[in-house]
Amino acid sequence: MSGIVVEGLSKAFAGRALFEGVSLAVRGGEAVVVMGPSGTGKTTLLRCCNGLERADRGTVAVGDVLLAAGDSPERFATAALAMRARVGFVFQAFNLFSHRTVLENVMEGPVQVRREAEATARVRAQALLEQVGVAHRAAAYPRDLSGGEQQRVAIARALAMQPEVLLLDEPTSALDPARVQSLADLLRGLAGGGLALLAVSHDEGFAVAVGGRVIRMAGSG
Amino acid sequence: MALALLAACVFAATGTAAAETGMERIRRTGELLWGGDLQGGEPFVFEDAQRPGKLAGFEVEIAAAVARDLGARARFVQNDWSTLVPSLERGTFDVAMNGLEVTAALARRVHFSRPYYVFAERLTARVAATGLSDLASLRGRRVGTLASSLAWELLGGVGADRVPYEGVEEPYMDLEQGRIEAVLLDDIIASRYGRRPGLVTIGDLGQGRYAIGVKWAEDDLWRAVDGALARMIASGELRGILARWHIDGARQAALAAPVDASVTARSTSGGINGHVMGENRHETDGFYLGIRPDHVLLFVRAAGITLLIAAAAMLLAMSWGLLLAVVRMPSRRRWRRLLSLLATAYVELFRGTPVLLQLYVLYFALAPVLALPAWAAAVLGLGLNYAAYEAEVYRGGIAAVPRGQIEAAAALGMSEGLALRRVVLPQALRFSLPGVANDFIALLKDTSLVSAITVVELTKRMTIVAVDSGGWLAPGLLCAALYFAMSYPLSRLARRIEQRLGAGA
Repeated sequence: MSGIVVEGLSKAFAGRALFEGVSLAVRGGEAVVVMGPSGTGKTTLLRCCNGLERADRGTVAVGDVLLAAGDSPERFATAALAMRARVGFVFQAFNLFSHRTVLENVMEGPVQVRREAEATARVRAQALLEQVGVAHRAAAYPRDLSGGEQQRVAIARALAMQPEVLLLDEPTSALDPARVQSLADLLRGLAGGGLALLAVSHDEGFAVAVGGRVIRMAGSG
Repeated sequence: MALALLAACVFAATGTAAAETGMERIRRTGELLWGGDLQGGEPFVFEDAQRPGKLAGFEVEIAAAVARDLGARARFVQNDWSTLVPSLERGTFDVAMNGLEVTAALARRVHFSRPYYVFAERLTARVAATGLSDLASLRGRRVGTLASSLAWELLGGVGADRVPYEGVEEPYMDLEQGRIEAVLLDDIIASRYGRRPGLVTIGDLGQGRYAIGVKWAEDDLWRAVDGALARMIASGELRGILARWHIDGARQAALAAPVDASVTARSTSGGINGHVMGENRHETDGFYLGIRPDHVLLFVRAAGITLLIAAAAMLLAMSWGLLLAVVRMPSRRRWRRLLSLLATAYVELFRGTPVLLQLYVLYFALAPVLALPAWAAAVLGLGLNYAAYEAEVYRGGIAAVPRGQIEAAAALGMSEGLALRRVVLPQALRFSLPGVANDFIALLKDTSLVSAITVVELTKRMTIVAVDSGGWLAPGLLCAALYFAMSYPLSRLARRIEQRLGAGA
């Protein structure tokens, strides 16, 4: 698989550069953790990768989909939709759909966006929940889950779209240290399956446990 | 404490009333307060267009003459025509005089003077109408008149489908529009307001009399007022006033005839001027505090109409309001911003003006271009008005959906529209539910306003029964009980749905 290529990405906020000229590449099967103190724009960098935010300069490419900061708004919106079809995102707060059960959360993308048949989507969703270890919570609502369980559902929801790249924003912030290892194991396994993993974190232990490359962002301010 | 205060007030009020007779009061104040309704218009009592703020009309002149006879000045008190008698009873004014028709039912409640005008009940219809001739021919027809009038009772007696109006011009407007089949009203009204190109007078279906109403308890005042009229009739002053207003005629010769005892005595016999009154039932057994068993059935039916109008209007308000709220969501697109501006203007306009005014515009002002049936205007008027409120409730609900939910939808590759449909609205509607339920209960009670456009719903039914029977307490309580019986289950139901949805929100 092709992975994700970031080139020359810059973003300023309120006249202050968050990051400047960031270039990095994550190949399929690889796990990369971007480290750095808070306030260095790690999360913003990640959000620029699937077009939730727009960089000031630079490009993001996944296969033949190119998200360029210089595009017209219409073009950028179209490219962002195409990008999101190939890039999964796991939010720091998980953002599970609060009005839907765990299973419905995982089925939502395939059925509504990819127009998959509901029966097929259900079987795949159940398999994914099995894979991330929360199959027993399929009928529960998000607010009844622990932080760790919510995170796994969020991962399953992203995986259900069969992405080439998975972006994770501060994946350990809601986990107690004992759980960090098991999350790292899960992510390593996903990378082993050919997925390109890009996580931002300030947790050294997590970076070590995932065992991939570590990129350090320096404070630019 | 509050109760004691109230009791003290009541005691004080009745205390002074008992201490003073009607004539003593008028001598003390030097004023004869007389109640009427300016909406009755020309030639009864109306604001003189030439002299703003000044009143004119034949009743204004009669009142002035009677007051002069009593050694006082006449002072007009504005009061809805349909509640003139209850207001007289509670002492808002000394006498009621505004085309007050002498009926057996009313004669039990107010002490009528001798008549000052003999009117004819005039039937007006469209030129093309067929099969209308006498009272009996009106059975099952939609006929407009003033509620609680003699015509109202006559029409009820022959089984006509009565449509109640508050003003005297509106029935003829509606007749022109084809909303009703005929109008039965006093000849004075018919000749002033019923002269329209497409309308024709079918004939006079009977006679009645206008008299001055006095409280039964104030015998000295009644004697003085009746005496004043007698002197005005004898001297020709009364006929002179009528002639000045072009309403004198051969029929008025009856004024000089000896007074019919059944009119001025507290009689319970129904016949007046040879009519057999349509409704003689107020005197029957089972009359309890102004409510009889068959009244209850009428009330329940009126409650059904109230509920139906409220439900239909709410359905309209919810869907139209949702559309308005969605259109008002922020957007970068120009045409969406323009639409949003229009929707905002709509919301502010409909929230910022009285719903009663909107109903009048829909039903009366719009009639020449769009003659809506009354029920449709009621549903549309309330629905369009409440849509503005629902739009605001939904807007709040949409704003309450966490940003992360929308971003999660975007990250899954959902388009704006799909995210709106699948994520934003389902959650926003849950947040909106308490507000919507609250508005529905408010709407249920606001339906009472549609009586202004001739729909007889629960509150109108209550006033009609209360005015007819003289008791406000029992009809009022029954009416309140029915409103409560409808609104309370609603609020319980809303609470239950809220709790069930809460499990998933």
